[in-house]
Amino acid sequence: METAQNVVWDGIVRGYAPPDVLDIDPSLTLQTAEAAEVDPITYEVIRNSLQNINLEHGSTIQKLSISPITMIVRDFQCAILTEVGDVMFLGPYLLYLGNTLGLTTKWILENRSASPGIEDGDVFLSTDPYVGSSHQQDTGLTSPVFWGSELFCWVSNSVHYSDIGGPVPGSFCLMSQDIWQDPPCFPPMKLAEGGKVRADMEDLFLRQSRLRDTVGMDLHAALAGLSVARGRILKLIERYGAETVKAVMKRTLDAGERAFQEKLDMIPDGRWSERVYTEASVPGDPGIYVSQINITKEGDTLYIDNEGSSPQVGSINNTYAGLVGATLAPLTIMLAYDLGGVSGGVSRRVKFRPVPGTITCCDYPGAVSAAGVFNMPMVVATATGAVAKMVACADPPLREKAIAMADAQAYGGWIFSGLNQYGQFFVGMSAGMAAGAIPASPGRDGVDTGGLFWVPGMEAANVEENELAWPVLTLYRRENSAGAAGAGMYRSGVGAEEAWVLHGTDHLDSQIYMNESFVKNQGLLGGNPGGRAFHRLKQQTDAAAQLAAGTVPQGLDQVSGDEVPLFYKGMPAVLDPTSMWTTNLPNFAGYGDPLDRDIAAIQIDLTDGKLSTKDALKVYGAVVNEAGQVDVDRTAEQRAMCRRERLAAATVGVSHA
Amino acid sequence: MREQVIINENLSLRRTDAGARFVCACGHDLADGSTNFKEACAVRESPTADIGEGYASFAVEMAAQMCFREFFCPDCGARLTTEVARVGDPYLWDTAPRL
Amino acid sequence: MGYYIGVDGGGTFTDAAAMDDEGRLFYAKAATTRDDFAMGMFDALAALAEECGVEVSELIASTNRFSLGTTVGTNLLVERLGARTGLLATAGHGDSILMMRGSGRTAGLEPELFFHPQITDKPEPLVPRFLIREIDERMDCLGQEVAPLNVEQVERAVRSLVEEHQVEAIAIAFLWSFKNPAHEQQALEIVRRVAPDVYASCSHQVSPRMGEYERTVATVINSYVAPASAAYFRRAADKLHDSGLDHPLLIMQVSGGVLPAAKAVEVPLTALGSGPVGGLIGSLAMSRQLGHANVIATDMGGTSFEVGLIINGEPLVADENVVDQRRYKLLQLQTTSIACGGGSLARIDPHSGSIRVGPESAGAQPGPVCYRRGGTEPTVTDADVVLGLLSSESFLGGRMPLDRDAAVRAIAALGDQVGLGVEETAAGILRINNARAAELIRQQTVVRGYDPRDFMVYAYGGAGPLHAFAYAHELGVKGVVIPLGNGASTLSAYGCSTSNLVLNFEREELFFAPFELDRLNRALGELEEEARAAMFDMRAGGDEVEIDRFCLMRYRGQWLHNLVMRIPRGHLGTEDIAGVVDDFRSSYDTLYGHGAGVVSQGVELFSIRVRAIVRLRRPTQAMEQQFGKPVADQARLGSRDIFWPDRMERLESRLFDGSRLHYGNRIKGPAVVELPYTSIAVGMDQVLECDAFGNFALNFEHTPGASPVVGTQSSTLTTG
Repeated sequence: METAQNVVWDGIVRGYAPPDVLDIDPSLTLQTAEAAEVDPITYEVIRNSLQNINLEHGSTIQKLSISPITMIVRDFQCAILTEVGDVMFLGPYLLYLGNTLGLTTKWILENRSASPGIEDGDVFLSTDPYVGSSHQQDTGLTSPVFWGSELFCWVSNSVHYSDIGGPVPGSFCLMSQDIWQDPPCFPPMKLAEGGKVRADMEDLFLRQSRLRDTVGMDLHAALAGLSVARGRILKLIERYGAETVKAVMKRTLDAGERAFQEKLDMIPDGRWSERVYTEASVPGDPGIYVSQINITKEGDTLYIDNEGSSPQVGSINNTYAGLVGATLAPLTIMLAYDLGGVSGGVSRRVKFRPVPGTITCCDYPGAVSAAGVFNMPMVVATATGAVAKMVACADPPLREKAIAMADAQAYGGWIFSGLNQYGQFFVGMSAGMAAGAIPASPGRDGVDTGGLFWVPGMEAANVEENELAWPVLTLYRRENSAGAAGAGMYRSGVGAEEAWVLHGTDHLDSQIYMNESFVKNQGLLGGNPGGRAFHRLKQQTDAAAQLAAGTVPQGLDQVSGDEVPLFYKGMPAVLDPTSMWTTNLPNFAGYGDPLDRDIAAIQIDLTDGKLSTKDALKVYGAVVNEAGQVDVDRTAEQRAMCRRERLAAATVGVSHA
Repeated sequence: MREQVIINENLSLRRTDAGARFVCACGHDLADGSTNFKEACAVRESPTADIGEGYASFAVEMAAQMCFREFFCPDCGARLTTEVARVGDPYLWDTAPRL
Repeated sequence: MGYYIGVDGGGTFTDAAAMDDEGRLFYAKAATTRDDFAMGMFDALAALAEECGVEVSELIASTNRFSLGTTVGTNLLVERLGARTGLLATAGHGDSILMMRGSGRTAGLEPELFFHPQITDKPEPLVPRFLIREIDERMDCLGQEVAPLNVEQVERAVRSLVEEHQVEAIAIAFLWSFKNPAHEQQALEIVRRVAPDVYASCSHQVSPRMGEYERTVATVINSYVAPASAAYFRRAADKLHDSGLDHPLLIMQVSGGVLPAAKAVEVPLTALGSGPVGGLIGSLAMSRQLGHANVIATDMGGTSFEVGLIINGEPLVADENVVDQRRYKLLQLQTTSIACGGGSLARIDPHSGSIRVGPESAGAQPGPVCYRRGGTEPTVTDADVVLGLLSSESFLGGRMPLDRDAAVRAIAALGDQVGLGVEETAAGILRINNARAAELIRQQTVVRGYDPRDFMVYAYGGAGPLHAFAYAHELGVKGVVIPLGNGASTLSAYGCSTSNLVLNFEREELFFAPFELDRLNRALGELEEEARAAMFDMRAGGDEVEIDRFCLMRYRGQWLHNLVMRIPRGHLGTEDIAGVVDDFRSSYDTLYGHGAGVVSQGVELFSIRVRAIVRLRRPTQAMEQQFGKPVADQARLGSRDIFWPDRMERLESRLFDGSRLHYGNRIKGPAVVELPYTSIAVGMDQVLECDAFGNFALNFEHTPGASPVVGTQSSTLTTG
């Protein structure tokens, strides 16, 4: 860490950044011995088993949890870690949570090995973002696996719990100016001892929640995941011996590091940056703030910093854990796509030089509970831009692995609460937009509603599942068209839009909705940025009357009534039986100059109805004849003219530096 | 030793007798490899709402502080890169590979 | 003499099995003819007739029951040769099938690919956007009408699809139709009126389950495969009728039962993927004869390894399936598959210096190196040949000599890269392949709370009997059965011939505990009524119909989880239902650890199922009467040096001709028994025994509790 000497990255006054060698109480014995030789066959059998154990851990959580956010949106992560907390396998779930598990585990080793001690059958629970969670809702459970009297490894998971207390349903506290206005923050404590859950600790955690039963079920799902993983690892050790299994773990990490190293060899040295703007540190704040990530590549190492980010402010902060997780997510997808989730080897070659006291790496007592829907996607997007520019400079074929930015508000999040059609209080988090989109790459269009690349297993709930749980009707859920948003030589996949009216209740409160003041996305190397994420609301509509008369309204412009101007982080909006509202998850970023787009690709989108004739001309300079076919000659002329117009409208030599 | 770094279909960094240079595919010699090539581009700065449909919001005052910048090759007009930025903020020096 | 015939027209071969009135079994195979399946079927029947010692016309004319399993639907899907299909969807939801819930890019793929967006994409849609029509109509989650159906719009849409776009089939899938099918039914009537020749199906009939995406997929696939499947069923039925078959042709279903062709054409989706089910049903029939309550049925072929489970004498039922990255819900016998078979490729992972086997496969073309079809990368089959487990001369009864030298070269080249000798490498490939197979079995058993040590493994398919000695041993199962021995490669045809009439009915209806007994009893009663009426329509009814009732339960809110619980027969009282809830809670704790469930959390019942079975009579399988001597000299072919991967040593191993083995023969390992289409490997400390039904049992001597198939020979004999 190359920051001032007097700064302590201790997880208390500042985010926790572990030292290379952990300070662990000598009373705890670690299992470190490795078999000198493991034949390649045994190696593969054990590696395969470990990977499957982790997948089984994840699928257990997914099956048994009851929050849509966990079971469908995959807003969780699980991992196997070495005895010193190096993450070995990640599951195909929310990627940025992976590293937070490593940080929390290392902090526990340093700070809990003396008191209360780390013993077989323990499970530690932590919600502290300064220790290692991305925000308090992403509560981590981590459990040591002992072989005999020695600590062999850890199994760990982080799950988004629907409500863990604090002033606002859902616990995303947009108004917070500091952590004391956030939901409570528990540093690692022993939820279970000797294999038994401590009722006092469980109550301490659950007592904070507005949704005690739901959170309780999810917590038990997370515990079940740990016990499944732990049991299977012990069986594996029983069969092959601790030293052999440990050797495989270490070799797998080494192999991951080597594979990553080979990719780095294909990238020239240099420095790449991305800058994403955001607004409103608290509701009503007119300020604009900057998230910036820079990557310096020198030889076999990447150095990451956040210089250029705004000083920490209001509720738009994330801790060191968030910064590290958000950066490793796009690195994993673009440079470790072939490792099946072995991320530990990657992080050995990535060094962080964060500037503390910033919105992308805040100090205590910065408020962070809203990071899950605001900062984290924003920092992932920022890091994606920087990584993508770097990877685009790599030798072919690696440069084709660059992926443009997904939206900074990728969840298209909409959080609302009230009484459902069964008369029970609920907090809903709309996951419909989890259909996502894969942004453009050099050499390939993205994938329409192809999911979110940094939450690989993510899935949108069915409309019917939402309507069963919440008192709403979804009037439509439709793919966007492929117009200006995300255009490029290679275009982004399209996102989607969803529209609702109330059904079965006459009142709901929209707690959080995403109506961006301006586009936050950035195009990649000549591509258009993605679209602006928006959330629109009309009141006093005739939607209900239209439905009763047999027409399902298919757009806000098709109903009467008045649009209510919604602002980013506006006050909660009240929905009544005359309301109709829409959420749009925009297309993500495109790559390369749209005037270079292949005519055949434009033709396919035209034929599919995904691109209008008007946009073909305006965005791509493609002239479409009356038969709907792109006219090749006239398009060439048109594109030449567009290039001349560009230069006529541009200024040269004006320096802003 | 790399002779060149391809940045996109139009822009590359090349080793020349005059050292590393940013060069456009049209042949135009853009800038010294140790500088921000954006400074040597023809730049069009426009309101973000003009990018296309759906980009305008109700937050007119806030949006007015932002702009969409397109960086063109001053010779052929190819769009080399773009950025959404706050009006008046320096061009982000975001792509600095070394040969 | 009357016959009971099963034909499985699945893969490379069309398999046929027959049982005669005296309970004797006969098997035959013929190459599948892609362009006209009936040719291959009649070739197989001709070969079967020869086995039975009768003319083919006589065989067909004296057949009492004829069951056909087919992969025609799967082929249509994979080769994209289905009908031009249009879709009617609820206004605003026509994109659902295109959006695929955002997970269509990776659905059903290996988890490793999840991290690699650039090499994953959505499949080409079965219904392109321009054939999707949105209709104004709406129901809500209670099944109440929110917006009426726009009848004129339906008519216009159907006319446009049929007249302008010449669709051959239509799928109708509206929101919440499984709660209230009125709008779908109305739309169906319009289609029938406007376009009587166009096949149409509704989502509430095909897959009455919650989740519009999966329900739409099921309906679209059903319509997509329907016209060609129906034509195929009819053609087969007509040809057999012309050849003298005097009974309705029965079509194998994924439910594990059969339906008359005339009924099967109504919803052809229920026949899609019935191939692996045939083998499972064959295993089931055999397991009942042998008294094995718990069986892991394993089918290892060239590219895939399929696993099905029989628990307490009942095959395990699944309700979700993924075909070609498209997910849908349909009740079917659970078979799970991974890419792991004879053709799986062995490659070096350059970063760890280890060997990986699969999931990539050499497929049928080029196939393993030793097949001489241009393959250059070593496969599992090449490793088998190198080790000596497979003979290079007697493969396929000697009709396809294998190039052992080429296999040795390819494996040696692979071994060089990691510093292993050729035999070590080949043995390693098998160990990895077997570990992958064992892992799949483990996932299917342990994850569900079953201990593999309580099971027998049944091994069949082209590569199953050869590798079972290792993958079964790995799991510590009680023992291995090669069902039907020489007939193991035609087990699914045999399975078809043993299937009963089965119909499943299900209804999604939510009940919170304590359940409203009246509503539950009424719902179950209606479903039972429906099932009996459907059986009656097939001229099977009355007392013969066995009804089983189940429900799906979960803790309140667990959408992705459920346990299937059996409901007692008859009118339910408070105590019956309390018992079902107790069963649920205790099963949950068994599966996920004590205390995994939260006592305060309510339990809900969200779906009820009724299964109707009419058992079709057939003769009891004949037993070989003569108990032979243990020594199998009559079948001895000589010896060969084999390098055993579990022992890592080369041992002189005895060879036997499986077709000449008899009841009572015992073969001690190391040995290989050659069968017409596969071989059985008998490892050291293993013993192969032949029983009176023609099954071969592979017993592991080290397992004291193991109960081999013939067991203490007397007991099985007397009860068999």
